[in-house]
Amino acid sequence: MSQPVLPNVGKESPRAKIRWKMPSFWTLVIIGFLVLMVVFLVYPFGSLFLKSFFHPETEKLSFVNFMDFFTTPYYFNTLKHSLAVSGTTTVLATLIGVPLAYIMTRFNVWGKSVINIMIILSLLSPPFIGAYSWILLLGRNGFITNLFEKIGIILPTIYGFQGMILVFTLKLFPFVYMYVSGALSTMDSSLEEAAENLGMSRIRKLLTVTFPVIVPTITAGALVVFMTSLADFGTPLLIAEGYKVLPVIVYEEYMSDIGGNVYLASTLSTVIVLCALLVMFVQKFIVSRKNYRMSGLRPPVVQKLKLGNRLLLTAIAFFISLFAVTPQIVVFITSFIKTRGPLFVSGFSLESYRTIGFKLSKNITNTFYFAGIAIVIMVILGLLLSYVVVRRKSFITSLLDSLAMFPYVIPGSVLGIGLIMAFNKGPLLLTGTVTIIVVSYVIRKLPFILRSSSAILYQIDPSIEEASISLGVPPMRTFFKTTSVLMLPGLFAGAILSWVQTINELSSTLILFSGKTGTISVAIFTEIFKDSYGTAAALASILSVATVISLLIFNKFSGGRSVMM
Amino acid sequence: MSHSVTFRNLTKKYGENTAVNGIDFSIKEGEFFTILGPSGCGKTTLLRMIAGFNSIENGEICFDDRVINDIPAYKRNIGMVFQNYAIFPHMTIQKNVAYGLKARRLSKQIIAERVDEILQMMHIKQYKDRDPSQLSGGQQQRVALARALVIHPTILLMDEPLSNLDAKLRIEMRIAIMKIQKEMNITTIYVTHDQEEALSMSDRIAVMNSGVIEQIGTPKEIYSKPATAFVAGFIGTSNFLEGEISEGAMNGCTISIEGTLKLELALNKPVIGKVDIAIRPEDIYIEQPQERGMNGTISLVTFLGDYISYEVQLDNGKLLEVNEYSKDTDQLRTIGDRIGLRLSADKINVYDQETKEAIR
Repeated sequence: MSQPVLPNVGKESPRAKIRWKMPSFWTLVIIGFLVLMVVFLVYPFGSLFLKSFFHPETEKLSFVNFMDFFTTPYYFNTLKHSLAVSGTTTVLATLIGVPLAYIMTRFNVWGKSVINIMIILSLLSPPFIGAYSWILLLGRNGFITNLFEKIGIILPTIYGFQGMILVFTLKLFPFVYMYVSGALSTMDSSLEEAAENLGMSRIRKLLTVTFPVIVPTITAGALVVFMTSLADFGTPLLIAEGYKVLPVIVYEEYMSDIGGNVYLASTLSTVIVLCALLVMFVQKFIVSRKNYRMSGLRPPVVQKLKLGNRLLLTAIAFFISLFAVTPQIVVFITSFIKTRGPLFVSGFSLESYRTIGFKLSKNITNTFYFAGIAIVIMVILGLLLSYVVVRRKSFITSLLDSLAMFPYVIPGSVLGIGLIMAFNKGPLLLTGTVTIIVVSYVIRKLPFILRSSSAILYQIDPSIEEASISLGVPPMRTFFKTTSVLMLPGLFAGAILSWVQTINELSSTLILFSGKTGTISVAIFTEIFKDSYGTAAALASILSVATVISLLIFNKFSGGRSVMM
Repeated sequence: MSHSVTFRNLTKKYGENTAVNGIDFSIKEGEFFTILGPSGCGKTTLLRMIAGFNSIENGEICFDDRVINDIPAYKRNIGMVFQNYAIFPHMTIQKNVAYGLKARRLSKQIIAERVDEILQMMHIKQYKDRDPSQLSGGQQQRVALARALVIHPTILLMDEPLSNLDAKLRIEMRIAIMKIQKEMNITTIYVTHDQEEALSMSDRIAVMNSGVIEQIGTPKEIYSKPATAFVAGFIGTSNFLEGEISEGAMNGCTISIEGTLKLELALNKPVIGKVDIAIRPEDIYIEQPQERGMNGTISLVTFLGDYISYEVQLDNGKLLEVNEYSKDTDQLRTIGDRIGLRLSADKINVYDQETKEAIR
């Protein structure tokens, strides 16, 4: 029975004659967001995408850039490569993630918490670290490659398509796993019992009831996999070599010394964003048709297995998660190995860490400093934006919502290029500053914060605020005394996840950083290219430790909630 | 000191949909006034307009002589009890109740005194330092009421406050609310869809349907003289029968009911033709079947302790509900019994088929 609350409870003027009213707090917030979004989203990305529709020389409206793209095999192939890599990764990640989630939620395998920790650990480092450590193991001079060479076996090369598939699949299946195990463990067990009761065999029950019911969740996980692999840019740069994908040539076209083709880079950006949008709409369409509301009153029981099967399933789960966490382990060990220049020599030392302390400590402070500012801004913006989107529904606020969600489909590299092109001249000259990096972090992660804080807000009864208002507290103070206090714990948990992703961010930072504003991930990347594997590994380990500490804090505040919001 | 509330031609539209349509009446000082209606009838919209959560574009609402249309919700000094209580989950009971007093910047000592006083009155003083989650539904309800009353509001608004309680607690809280309302003599507007609640608690009731007020009256008036066919159907149980007036004048005409029974009635409007007749199950008497009388067969028996409800199928196929009280008869009839029915003429209500308004 709740009717929309109209936001017109403004300050009452003592002289009632005056027509003009001070706009209410929330009206000001909405106006503020409109301004911010026009400046930092519509303007940069609108002009980036528009550029692709203009002729590079005559500057007239034309499709020549797109014609170039589709008729030049060099460019067009990158699209095919990108789709092949993301498509294959998505299928494989789903095929690993879904069964693993089923095994872990429905059977009494041993060491569930260890397995879960390994999976979460693997999830929270940037993909390029995976690429880097698989190169350390299986690359041209890799540890395992050399081992096999000694006994006369030549391993297939890890560079190119198969390498990317290996890295992405192992890196991204945990997303599917986390989403699906969440759904499986909260699903109402009576559904499955009904199927059994009606005479379905175990396998047919899975295929006709269990999995169909969680299709929306599976596709949500698959969507994250597809988007991340499509947008990722560090991994292909390290491991793809000649097998070029879209984000890489966007970067190359833009960065290629003087006269990089800005128009073509815009076109490529447009193509990649369109691909992402298309896939997202397909997923939304599937979900809209197959979304079931469930009242999960009785969670499913965990089945007790006989020793043999129990061992088997434990082994499967353990090895999958071990594979996933291998990069972390490799990096950690590598960071303590003695190096001589680019070469590893036998014996352990803290040399790599000393080098970092000497040369790269600025990058470490930068990382935490930038991410810290970004998080504070994100939390404030997320709090206010989710409120106007959820509680002040109107055309304008749903427009704000869509605008804020839009960066979800913009790959980091495109984001970086868009910002540079927009802000490398007056009136807002931001290139090379800390501001531009913070802006990119906020834009990038706001969709996640917005989603999680909206979800929290939907759980909070609007009449709490009305109660406060009717007790005499004006709307703005009411918000800060009631709703925001109730939102903060959940929001804080969400913020830590964004923090983790922000300190690990590479794609846009790599484009936006200048000499003084490098971060850890940028340093890892440049160190790898300088073949300083030891320092790269040490930096990556520092990042991982920071991530783990953040997660422990998250667990403390989330009250046992899952990492996936 | 209590206050009156006046609605003048109040209308609220959401696009094409008119939620509240030309409401025009007054609520007296100290009155317990209930707005009763089915869900979607506009009663909550009306309540939220009084509270200030829905804006007023057409018409006006006055507290005493003061138009409150443009006063923001937080300055209206209204005590409101929400359907789901809306207790602040992050504050103790004591802080919840003190909240409105703090907003009024009263001194710490006065706040403490008034909070204690009201908690005492509501019998929840012992829960003072607990978190709301530790309280039962009924106790939370008392906190919500205490929080609304402690600010000494101009009027008290209650939005279906008992709908989340179980049957027994509901009756207990009903009494608690009535007592405290009389004790504090505070003008109270109570919104509900539960007619039993409305009849038992109110000084007066407004029955609302599709945005308009169908009838305003005391519980007794509303029950025994429903002004419209809707009220007759919504309050209590009514049997609707078809009547036909072939001739007659204001002070005496003959109605033929369901083509069998003929009754002499005085109407307040001369009508010729078909009319709707409403009669309550307890105003129909079971007798021996009679030639040319209203006869039927018992088709269902529901024994309810203090009375027995019979479903009777008339010979023309129509179903009626008829009650017999255990104290009046020991006889329990069975399905298939042939019976005749007598209507108590002074309890019959007659409605114009077009306007649906009472013509008797």
